[in-house]
Amino acid sequence: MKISKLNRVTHRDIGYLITGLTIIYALSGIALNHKHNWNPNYIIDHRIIKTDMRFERGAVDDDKVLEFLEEIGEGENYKTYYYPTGDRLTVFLDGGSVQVNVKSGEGYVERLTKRPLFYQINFLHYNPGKWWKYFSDIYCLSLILVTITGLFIVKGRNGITRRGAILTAVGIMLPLMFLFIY
Amino acid sequence: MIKRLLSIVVVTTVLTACGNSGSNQAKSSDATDSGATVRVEFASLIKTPDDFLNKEISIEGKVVHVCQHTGKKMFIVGSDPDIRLFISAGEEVPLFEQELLGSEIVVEGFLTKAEAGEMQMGMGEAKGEHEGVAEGGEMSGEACETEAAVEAQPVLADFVLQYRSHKVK
Repeated sequence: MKISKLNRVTHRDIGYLITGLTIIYALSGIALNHKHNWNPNYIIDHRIIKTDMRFERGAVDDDKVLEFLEEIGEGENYKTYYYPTGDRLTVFLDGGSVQVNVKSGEGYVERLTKRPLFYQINFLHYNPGKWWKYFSDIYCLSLILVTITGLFIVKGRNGITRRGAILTAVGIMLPLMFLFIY
Repeated sequence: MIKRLLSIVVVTTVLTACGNSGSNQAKSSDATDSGATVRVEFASLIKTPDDFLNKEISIEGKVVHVCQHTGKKMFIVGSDPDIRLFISAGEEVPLFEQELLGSEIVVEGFLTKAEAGEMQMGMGEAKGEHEGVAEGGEMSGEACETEAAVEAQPVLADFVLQYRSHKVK
């Protein structure tokens, strides 16, 4: 087989194979890139609450907590509570929690739900186990292979010797500039 | 060419799946057979933590905090709510699920001393992450308070359990 045909076939077939993973990594990459602006894994809802109940240390038990939860409309979801030294009582619910400042009575109900699609693709992006790590290494090598074979597909003035060379050089210079600046 | 490639993909996928489950089974049977994992009561760990340093331990506790953004940090307590054990996710799990909050779990891992800056890095990371979340100061305060509380506690402040596996009770 001629080298150019082998190059084209490799680029095509490996390209098809890694399409799914590329989209997964790219989407989750964007999501994780902006994790300071949003939670990429969970949708978090807050509801402000206020209670006049008093929570004396030593007098807090499941019944007292359930009474509090009934008051704020969360009596169905009780798991357990956590009340360390300090002013914060935490009540864990199925799918969330309640935080209350025992001095002021102010607090909030926090509900967490997995962000559809993004939770799953971020899970893969985080490397769930060492075999996935090796699998994703193979994927990255395939990506390099697809990139390099792609350079030599087009011939003539739009190929790697002219227009392609300029665009490739620009693409390499941009990250180098960032390295230089930062 | 395509058939050959597809065959390779199928074989690789099957081997990966078998290899993964096989290695997990081997790991847990090794732990059982060799007795390498020490079952520890939380109270014993608080009393003499150095006895269990650099050992594989299994310990039961209630999950009181899971880092919301990284999911790589988890804290459990025993009967004393003021003594928390920091559990760090390693390669075995990409992140701890928020659904673990409030659950009684038996967690296995390797008990070690936290590296210099490991907890502080977590604090800084948690602070930065939570500041970016437009949910108000309450949430960022809660996350940093847990880590600050661990630093201030009289025991286990500089211990970390490198996570291996867990079971929810």
